[in-house]
Amino acid sequence: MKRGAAIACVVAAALLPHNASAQAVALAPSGRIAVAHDSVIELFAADAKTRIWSAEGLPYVSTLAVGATKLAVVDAVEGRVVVADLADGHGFRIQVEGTPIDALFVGDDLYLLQRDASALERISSDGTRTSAPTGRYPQFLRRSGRRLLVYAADGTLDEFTADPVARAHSVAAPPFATDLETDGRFAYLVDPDDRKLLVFSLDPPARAGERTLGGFPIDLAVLSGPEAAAPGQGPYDSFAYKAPVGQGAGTEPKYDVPPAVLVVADPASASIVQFEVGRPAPEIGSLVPVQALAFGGPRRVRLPTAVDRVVSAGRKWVGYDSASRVLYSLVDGKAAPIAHDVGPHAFQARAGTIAFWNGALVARKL
Amino acid sequence: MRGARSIAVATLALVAPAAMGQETRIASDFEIQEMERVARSGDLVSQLSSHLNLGMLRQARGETDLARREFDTVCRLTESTRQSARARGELPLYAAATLYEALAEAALDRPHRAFELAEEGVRYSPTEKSWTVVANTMEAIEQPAKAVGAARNAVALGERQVAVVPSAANQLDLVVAQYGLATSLARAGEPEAAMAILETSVARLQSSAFDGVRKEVASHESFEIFSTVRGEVQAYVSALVRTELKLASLYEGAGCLADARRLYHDVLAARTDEAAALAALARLARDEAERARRLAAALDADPFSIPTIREFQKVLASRDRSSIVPEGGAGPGAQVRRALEQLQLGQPGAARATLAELATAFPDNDVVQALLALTDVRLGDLHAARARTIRAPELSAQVAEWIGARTVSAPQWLDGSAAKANAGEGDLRSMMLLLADNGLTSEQRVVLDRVVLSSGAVFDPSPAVAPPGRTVFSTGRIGAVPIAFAQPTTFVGTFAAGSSLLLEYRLLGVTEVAGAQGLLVEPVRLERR
Repeated sequence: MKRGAAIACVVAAALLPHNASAQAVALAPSGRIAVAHDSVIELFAADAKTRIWSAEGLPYVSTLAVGATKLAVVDAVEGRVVVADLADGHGFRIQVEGTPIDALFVGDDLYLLQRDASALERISSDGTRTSAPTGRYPQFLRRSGRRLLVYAADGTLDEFTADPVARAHSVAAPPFATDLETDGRFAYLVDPDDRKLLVFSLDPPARAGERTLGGFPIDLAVLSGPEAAAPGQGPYDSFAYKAPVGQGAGTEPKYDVPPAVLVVADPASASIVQFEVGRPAPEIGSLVPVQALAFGGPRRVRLPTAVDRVVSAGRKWVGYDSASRVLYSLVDGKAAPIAHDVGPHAFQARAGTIAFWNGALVARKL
Repeated sequence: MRGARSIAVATLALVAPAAMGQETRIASDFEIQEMERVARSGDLVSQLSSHLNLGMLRQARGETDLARREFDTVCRLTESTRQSARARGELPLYAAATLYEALAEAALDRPHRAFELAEEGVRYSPTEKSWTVVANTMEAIEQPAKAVGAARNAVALGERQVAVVPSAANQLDLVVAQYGLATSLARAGEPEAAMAILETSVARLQSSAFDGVRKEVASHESFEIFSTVRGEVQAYVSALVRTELKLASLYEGAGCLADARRLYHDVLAARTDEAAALAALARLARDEAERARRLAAALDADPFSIPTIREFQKVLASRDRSSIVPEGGAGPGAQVRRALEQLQLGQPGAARATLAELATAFPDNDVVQALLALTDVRLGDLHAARARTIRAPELSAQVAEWIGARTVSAPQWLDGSAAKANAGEGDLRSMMLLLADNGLTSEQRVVLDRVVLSSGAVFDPSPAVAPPGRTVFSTGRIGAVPIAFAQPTTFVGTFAAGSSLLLEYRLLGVTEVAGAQGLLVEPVRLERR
């Protein structure tokens, strides 16, 4: 009965009209918020109410990338890109042919991942365009310092230098993975077919380890660095950093530096899986392989809804259900709705704050 | 969860053959009835598949409004299915419904929504069949490069599957994926690559892997090809027919006419009423009798095919009017032919009566309505022509053009009051529309045969070498109106290509000049201005 009632509620929500056009939201430096919607690009102050500038955008937006000084609005269907200065909204437009599926900035240079051209293209601030081939059907572009990571659906994870744009290293990966993330120390891929999380060390990328998760892991978020070291960093329980001293009596591994905390969405079982990944602390008198990894967890927490996207907002976590277009905060084992009718690119979270668009821009503390 | 991503194969198996057929398939009433039955009584996935196929079949028949209703039904069903499937953790169903909806949204001309749904569908189920559906969705939103990328994924997965388990079913799936890739490549301007792929597909279908299926095919006295395929035999025949048809059309485009003919005949051996093959053999006919016979058969199989109707109109236009006798017959194909013959004989009233009868049986058919609008225009009843409801954009535009041509007033010099006249660019544009639409009265035609026109013209350089003191021209422009002579013509005197000259000429008709519509003229005199 309960499940039936839940379905009825979801179906009723689904009958609400979706926002007619796609929107995208991205957090910019100094707490500002960029929004692309209804053929307009707008930059707001951190209060989400004070509009700093507005400029002509695109009718459809698939990606909104923000750098230190510029932003780029991308339409992957028609191959249109608008680049604008964060200072005043002035910029230029370009056309690309190869389905720009992902984009990011390194300095003032825009990097576009072109799926059907199997290429990574750099558009310099002076308009110069250079590109390098990727694996076939590239899907994800991530940045780690001056390195760029590209995952292609043919099963390759490539590391590119940003300047010049060139493939530096390549490593085999499973085909058709559904998410790639990096925290600067490792790259993480989720592979729903084999129900696994794969971990790659960087510089150069190499397979470092894997964790079988079960269910249908489809998306992941990573929290790394000082915030991950503090207790209470996960949405449901606390993975306190275990200092690498002595032999612990518990089953949790010891790490030589604070581990990364990962949260993986599993919509098959309406749950998320949380665990930690790090280098094991060397035990006294033993040899530890350089590439060895230690995993803490996993801990699976069932949710009242099946989120299939997760993002880290510092020490808070956010989930999104792409079927019902509902955004949730994931706190204390509960999924509390934040907003309805939110597009898949219309939210971004950082440092305990979420910004989203569902007809109007909203920013709030989590 | 390998299972979750692969179960969707079964649910989507129904879509791929439908997508295979959408380019040339024209449904019979029987097929539509069968789909409607499944849509009423089948399980959810069968219902979705049937509505999608019905939409495609209706669209192919020119029943745009009915097609939209089917696609809307798909969207309504998939929206609720997607929510409930996700709530129950039935991810294969969620992926299948999402991909069905992507295809329906593409058909409803909502490309961005279609793109997002396709991305979401393959995120959950990146299987061979899913990618084939994505490729078809990208084709439908006119993104050939994206279609090629998706189709390549389908083929790569299919090849991997066949390498592991080379069963007939897996090979058939691979052929479907290859067909999608070849179609996308051909549309993206790579016909040679498309031909190479289809040649391997045909060889695969003719291999011993399908001996058992072929025996079953041979044991069937007759069969129908359904867009929603219901078994390996039908799937095999459908795949063979579609693949051979596509390869034949590529051969035809490449000028390999003997190979094209052979394959079109192979198609007809499997299905005698395959309209696209009949129409193609009419195009390739060696004599007029065969052309007329094939076209008649093609119109019987598919009375609403616009290319076939145009081809039939061309044949009629090339014949002496006295040899045209409106045929009898009661079928839709015969009715369409009769109406076209009546129009050619200058009997728009009779044609309108014939088509009105056809419209009773097919009230929502855009092709019938467009032909009725043509009879309205010929009768001068522009109000009736404008009032016709025609949803298909290309047909609606065609009717608007007919109406526009009719409202074009004939140049004054067509009144026959002068043997010579100056013709401006505007006059020539009006004449182009009137001639293309057969819009001149018989009296105006007599004047046109006689009157010598004079216009400023600029000619293109001719590759032909002229003797000293002579100049050869064959094409040029009067204003922006392209003109052409029936053959390269030598003029006495030296004239520079690209310079403005004064041309005296008679107007013969409309023709194609370097890919654009232009006027065929007979030069009388050329001089410097």
